[in-house]
Amino acid sequence: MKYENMFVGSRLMETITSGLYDGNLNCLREYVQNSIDSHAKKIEISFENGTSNLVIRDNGSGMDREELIHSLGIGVSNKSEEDIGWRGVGIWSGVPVCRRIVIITKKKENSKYRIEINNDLIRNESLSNKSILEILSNATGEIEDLSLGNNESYEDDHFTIIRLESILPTQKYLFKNKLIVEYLSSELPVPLNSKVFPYAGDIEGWLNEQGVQYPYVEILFNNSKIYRPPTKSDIFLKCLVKKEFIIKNELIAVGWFLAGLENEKLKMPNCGIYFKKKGFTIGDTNLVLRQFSGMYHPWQYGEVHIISPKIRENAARNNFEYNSGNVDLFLEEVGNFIKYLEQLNRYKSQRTSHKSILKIKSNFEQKNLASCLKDIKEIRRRFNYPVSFPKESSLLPMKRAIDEESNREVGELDAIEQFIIEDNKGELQREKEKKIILKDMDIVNNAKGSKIQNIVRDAEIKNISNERDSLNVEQERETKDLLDKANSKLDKNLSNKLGKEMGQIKISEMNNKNFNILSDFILGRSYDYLDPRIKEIFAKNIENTNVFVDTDLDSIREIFLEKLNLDSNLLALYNILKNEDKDSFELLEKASPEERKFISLEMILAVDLIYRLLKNFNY
Amino acid sequence: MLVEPDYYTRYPPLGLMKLSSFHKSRGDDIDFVRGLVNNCNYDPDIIKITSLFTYSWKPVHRAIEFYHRLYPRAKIEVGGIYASIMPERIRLKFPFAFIHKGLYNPAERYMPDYDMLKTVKKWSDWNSSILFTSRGCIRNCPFCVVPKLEGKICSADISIKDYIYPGHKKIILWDNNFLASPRWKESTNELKEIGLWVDFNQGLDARLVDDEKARMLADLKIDIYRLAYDSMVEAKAVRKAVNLLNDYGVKGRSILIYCIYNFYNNLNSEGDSPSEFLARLNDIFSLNCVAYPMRFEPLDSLWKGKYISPLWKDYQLESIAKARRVMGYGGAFPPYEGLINKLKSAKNFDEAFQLRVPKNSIRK
Repeated sequence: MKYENMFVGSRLMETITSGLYDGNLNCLREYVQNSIDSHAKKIEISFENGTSNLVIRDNGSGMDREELIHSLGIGVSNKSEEDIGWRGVGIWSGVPVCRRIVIITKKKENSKYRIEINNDLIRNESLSNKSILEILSNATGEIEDLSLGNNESYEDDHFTIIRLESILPTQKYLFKNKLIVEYLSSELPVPLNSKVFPYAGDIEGWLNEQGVQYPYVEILFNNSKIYRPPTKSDIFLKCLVKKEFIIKNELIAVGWFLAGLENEKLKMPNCGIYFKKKGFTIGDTNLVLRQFSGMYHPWQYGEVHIISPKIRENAARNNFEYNSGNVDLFLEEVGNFIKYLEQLNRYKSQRTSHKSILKIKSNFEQKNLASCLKDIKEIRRRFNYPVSFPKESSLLPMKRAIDEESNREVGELDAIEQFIIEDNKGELQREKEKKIILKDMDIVNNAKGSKIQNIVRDAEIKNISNERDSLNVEQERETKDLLDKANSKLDKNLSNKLGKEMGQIKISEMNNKNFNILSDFILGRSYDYLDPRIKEIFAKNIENTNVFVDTDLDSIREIFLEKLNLDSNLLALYNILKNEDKDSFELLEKASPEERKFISLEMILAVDLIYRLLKNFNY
Repeated sequence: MLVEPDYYTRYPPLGLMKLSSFHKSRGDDIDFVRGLVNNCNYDPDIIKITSLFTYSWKPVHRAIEFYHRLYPRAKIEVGGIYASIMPERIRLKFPFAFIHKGLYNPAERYMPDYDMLKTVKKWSDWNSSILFTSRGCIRNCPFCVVPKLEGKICSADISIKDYIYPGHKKIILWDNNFLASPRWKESTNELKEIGLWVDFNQGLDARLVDDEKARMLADLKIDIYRLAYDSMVEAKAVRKAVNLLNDYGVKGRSILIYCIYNFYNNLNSEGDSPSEFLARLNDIFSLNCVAYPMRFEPLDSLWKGKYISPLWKDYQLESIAKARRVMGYGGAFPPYEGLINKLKSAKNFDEAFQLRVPKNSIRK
């Protein structure tokens, strides 16, 4: 087709060569806009031949020859500003994504026309010195008059088909089923799905009442209907917030919001707040959030529909035109609202705790009653903490909903607590007694300056000093004997002490609970003088039940070396522990997980013993 | 409506597939069928029937007749090899049919429509993308139709990636002489980059294999390297090509060498003979490669296996066919030790291809 000056508007270079349409799914939006402007009620988008071609077919009015020619004249669209795709660049938006654009269109009582655009040629020649008119004339084929098939009607049939043929290999990563569905559902004026989202009817009715006009259009992708999010309702608190944004007595926009049930970030696509105009999304969720400079946690889903025609988006539809209408005042208002939403988050997180309740329930089922009661106490403390609710009238229903939810949760807690107390008096009593004993020991410890430890240590020192004469640190074997003895003594003392509360601990009896008490006792209380780094390594080992890994021994050794500026004697001891204490390692290999924990602990004790031995020997 | 007659073939109808894409690009609805199918609930405007080798003309005729009766209003077009070579034969029998000779250029650049194969059971599991990066050939072998039908070589300035259907495992190249294409290097690099299995289906020209080509070919994912050894003249080139491929790690067992037989050139009264054929087989076995005998069939043969070269006897041709069934594997002769020894020790062709009668079926 020959291009003449009159057809080509000023936006040409911007459209084809600038980054505005630098190859992304935005071309889909352009084509759908064009379809909607031609009063299409149904738009079918589908892949053809794998993902080689993308076909967009609408049942809009179609174009006659003149209209088709006009539609190819860039930037001089004769659409009024009331239309959505009024910038008139739509047809060309597919240039960066495929090798050919084919347009097939038919208007009532008109022939079926076809025209093909060779994008490769535009790409190649845009680098040359040729004029844009020449390039376009070369790249655009002649309009063909296609013959109608037996099943087509000259009088009645009307449609437009846009074919993006041979999608570029570099674009294929975008042109995937999943991404296209995501794009269509988040960007286009598709309906809410009342089957999975019961508020759909309420919201659409209210938006309509408020004067939000968006075209009802059915969009299908690969034959399935596209809906916009949310895709489920059970993740939200049962309360719909409706907000009117009024600037200088003019209703600029209306919005609706839902808060997530959990106090955490919602997952896409059910997360974020979007600006919409005539059903199309402007920018992404960040555009809304950018209006608020503080910290905001995305715990809501919502839409802000612009009603005022004075608020205009830019050509790329990723932002507003900042000189349009009262856009600055409006965005400030939006920013304030986001601030209130964040306050709402704070209120909600102080009043409800869906996750903690679930945790308590599961602990309750597993009979971890002590931790149940502890958590219940913690939640109650949090729930009683004073927190203010945002001063925003549209959010008031949310306060009621949160308080209701809070009361419901408290009710659940009460029930659980009561049940535990009624049914498990005996066990609770035992646990309580245990706690008192431990507490007593704590008091003793504090009062007498770790006297219990001292007793243990004194016993060992005595034992060791008896044999001190015969001790030759350089003879590894003897050192090992010494270690064994001291170790067993330590063990015995420890068992004796703990035995008061929980009976004699044997390896076979070692279960999680016993182990926790034991390790708690040893690491949490008696080992206060240990280097915190070593403690940390010990703690890690206890978590990691499978191994008492060499690297940890290495780091302990390193800390020892550094701290004590030590020589080969320690190295000898360390080697016993690491390489020659084969029995321990064998035992470790055969042991059950519980036993392993115990063995690990024993080895920790041994290391600790070395530490203390050395300390006593004034190293 | 696109029709593939139900003749025997191992490859889907590429021409129809391109036509399908061509028609879809013009907004037409496509229905593809194989054989004679009567389950359309619409009235097609055009029926395009393809054809293959001249000797499989019968299913083509059956299809023309069947669909003409079924849809008398539709325009019937017949294309493909048989229709291009013997248009008059079709025109005489079916005066209403339009015959299309040769390639349909407007459809050539389109990616074949693999979607359409899904509706036909025979092709529903097809998982290879077929393409030409070039047409024609630099050679002018007397037994070959390519120079007559397609002429001199010309390469298409295409990106192979554009023609790969997502999910396909293999790329089949139908280039007649890939290595002679001016763009062989770009194409090979692209094949390497794509990383799928590759089949140079029409064979590689042994005379063009040099060190660089052998290295690049050995670097591709290929299970069978197809070469040809059509006359003793090529002995040296074949040996060199195989050795080069061996040097880059390609095993002899994965090199398949086509061997023509039963060809006679009337112009200079030359052709292959049984003893010459046997010599070529022995050469191939000495390289430890697989031999694939190919019986020459004239371009316009209407009955497969009817043509006999003046240098061959009917029973000799028959004995090769039999040996391929009995001793061969999938029609090829792999370098089995027994087979090698049998051919090597034979005094002449007849002895080499004489089949031992199974002991338990000896009649008394």
